[in-house]
Amino acid sequence: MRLHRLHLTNFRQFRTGSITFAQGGDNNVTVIHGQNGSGKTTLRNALTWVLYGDVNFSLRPNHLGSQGAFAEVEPSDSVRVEVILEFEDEDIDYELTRWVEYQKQSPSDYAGEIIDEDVSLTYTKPDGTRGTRNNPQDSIEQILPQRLSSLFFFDGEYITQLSEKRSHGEIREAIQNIMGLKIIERSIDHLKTVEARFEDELQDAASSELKSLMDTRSELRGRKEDHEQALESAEQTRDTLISEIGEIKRKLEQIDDSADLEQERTELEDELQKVETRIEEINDEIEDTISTKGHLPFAMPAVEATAKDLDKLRDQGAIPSEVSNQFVDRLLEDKWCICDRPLEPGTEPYTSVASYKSEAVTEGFDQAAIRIISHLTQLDSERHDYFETIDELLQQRSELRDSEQEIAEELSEISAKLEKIDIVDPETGETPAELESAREKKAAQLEDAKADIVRHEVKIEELEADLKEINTQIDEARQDKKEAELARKRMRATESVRHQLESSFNQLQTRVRDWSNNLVDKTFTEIATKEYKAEITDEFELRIKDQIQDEYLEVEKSRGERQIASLTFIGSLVQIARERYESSSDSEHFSGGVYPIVMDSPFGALDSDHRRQVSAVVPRMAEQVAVLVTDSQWRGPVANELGDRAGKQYRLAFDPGKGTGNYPRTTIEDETAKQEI
Amino acid sequence: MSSSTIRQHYYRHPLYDKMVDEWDLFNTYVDFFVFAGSVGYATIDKTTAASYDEAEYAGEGETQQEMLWMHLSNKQTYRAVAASIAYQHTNDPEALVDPKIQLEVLARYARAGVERLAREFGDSASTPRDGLISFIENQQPSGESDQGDILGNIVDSFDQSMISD
Repeated sequence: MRLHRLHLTNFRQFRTGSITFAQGGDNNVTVIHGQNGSGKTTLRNALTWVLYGDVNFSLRPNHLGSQGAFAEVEPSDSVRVEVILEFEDEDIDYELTRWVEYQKQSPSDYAGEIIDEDVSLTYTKPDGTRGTRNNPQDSIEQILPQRLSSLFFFDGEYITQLSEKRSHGEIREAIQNIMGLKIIERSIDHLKTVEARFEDELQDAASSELKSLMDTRSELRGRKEDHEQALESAEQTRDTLISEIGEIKRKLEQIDDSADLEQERTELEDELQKVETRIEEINDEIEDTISTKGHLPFAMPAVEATAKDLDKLRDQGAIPSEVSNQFVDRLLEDKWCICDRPLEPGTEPYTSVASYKSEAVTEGFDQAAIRIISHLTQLDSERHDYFETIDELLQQRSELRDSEQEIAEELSEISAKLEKIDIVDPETGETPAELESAREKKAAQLEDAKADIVRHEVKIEELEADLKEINTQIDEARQDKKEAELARKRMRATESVRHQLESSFNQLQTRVRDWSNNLVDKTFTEIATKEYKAEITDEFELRIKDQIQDEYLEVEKSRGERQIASLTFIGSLVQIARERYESSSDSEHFSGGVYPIVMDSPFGALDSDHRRQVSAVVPRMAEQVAVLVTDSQWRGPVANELGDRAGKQYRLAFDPGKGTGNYPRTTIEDETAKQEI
Repeated sequence: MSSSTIRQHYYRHPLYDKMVDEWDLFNTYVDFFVFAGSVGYATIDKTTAASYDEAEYAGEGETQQEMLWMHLSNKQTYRAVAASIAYQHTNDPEALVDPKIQLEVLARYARAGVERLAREFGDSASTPRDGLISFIENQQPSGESDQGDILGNIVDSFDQSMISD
């Protein structure tokens, strides 16, 4: 698919305007820049609206019509909103038109009510044949499936999400989407439903005892699923909140009035993290000391008493028993006792002396006695060690807790200071006070989400144990009824197919991950700092590794590199799609395609070095790339790097339309000619 | 019977799972068994320990688990403790040698110990780490003691008569 031209009429703040897209080669980038609020996001939404009838506006999402257009007409008159996209796919030229007609309801109505709408797709083949597709939406779905549009038409927030520490969900989903693996996932879900149906049949044919057990199992499974869903939702909430808090932090770092405080907070948070980690380590050491030596204070009296008893036996000559036995044997042989009496067999003195031997000797007794004595000082010393070690660890922990408290107080002071800075930042339109208040609210929500996660995890674990138990009981209560047997066999067969499908699903997913990983690594190495390496881990996390230290970098220390890696990752998906398309072999699930990329504000809050590096990635991401960027981000390294690659360049001139009879309006100005001069 | 196959049923109070799996206070079930046995030894007298019937110290049904001698005997200090407690309980030299007797005696005291610990910590909502530290702290010998000298003399005497032979 190659984009040619986008034309808008009365779409939001655009009364009329066109964008012609740059076409491949060395000048494959279309740059559209404008100030904040000038309509960059609206343009991206115009594309998704014409293609899928879908928009994602945070403000007035249902108001597609231009306020100016509504102002110019009388009540009961209509306003037509229209977007036309001209593009080419597999040598066929297409013109996709989507329009909606609103009727103005009252003099102050600037939104209108829909009275008609339609979408049409006309085509012209290379031989000049023209026609209209009967089902335009199906045709679009085949040309650029909607599931892929979120991968290729994205904003800076998506790049940030991919670059966040907990991005594995997004990375995994993107990989599944590009290969159409979502279809397999749905099949797996469907098989679970079929399994449940066979289980119902089995239940119908089962004995009352078995039925009751299976009812219980169904109920337990239902509860487990509820908790799993709630857990997933809580994890998503947690990840979103972490990402949002990170975004707020970045904004506070960018605002002059709050940058120093935010920097100080980051350092304190790092320090706090270290203190908390050390406290955890100390607690682990305490636990290990209790586990290995904690019994000694209780057991030592027994060991000491035994040692004293053994010493007494030694003193009496009963130990070593072998020596004492030899001595007794010799007396019996000599038939003469040390008390100067004869020892004749059968006499009372003989029996008495002989009995010393049998009473004292227990096989291995000497060794056991030696073992206790030889460990006596070690055990005593370990008992002392136990108390000394615990005292020392408690002392260290107490000092760390004091530091923890101090840092918490300092953080609280920083927060209080930020909440007092009420100066509006011209770039974001927000004050540090507002941002800090939002951060605090989200931090509290994050704690709740974390607590929810733990609660659901514990519950799931308990239910799994209950399910294991009930499964054992069900196995025991199985009966041989024919119908039950048949249903059971069907259920097992479905289960087996599902397992095979799950296995193939995981293999394919891993294969595409490896594929994408190689491409990311290659592009990243060429563009970013040489000492770093980008990697999609086995857990589908996008991480940056310091090649010299052979360690993964923390998120905060590698934000720029992570954003570059995110873009190379999206670029790798475009390349995978193209390679699948060009490959002669039949794809298992996805025939691929050649897709453009449209990115809105991809530079986030990067410094100028990283902006330059990201700009170097952009033209390489796809054969056709459109970049929507703020004026301030466009200036400097981005313009220097991308200017030469921009086949088309536009500026969005925004008139806020203040004053009576004026309404917000954006005009698209073509700067290409100016640029060429 | 090879000593590696010697085993003993013991009463597995739910506190075992909490102490080992949930709170990670003990590395293994063996560690907690020896700890409970030692606490039990300091808690009850030998008449009480001897009066337990088998179901009480060996558990029954879900509360019955097995302790293998080979797991306990891996650690020399545990062997010395098990032998000493068994010897003090029986006053029989055989107890110093026979792992079966040692395991059974330890299981008896472990029953008493775990009951005591359950009373102290069984209802804890979170790890009773610090409570356990205080609990053990109470066993610390108070003031100066010449116990170390006495033990040193015993070791020396044995050295002279046996160990150095």
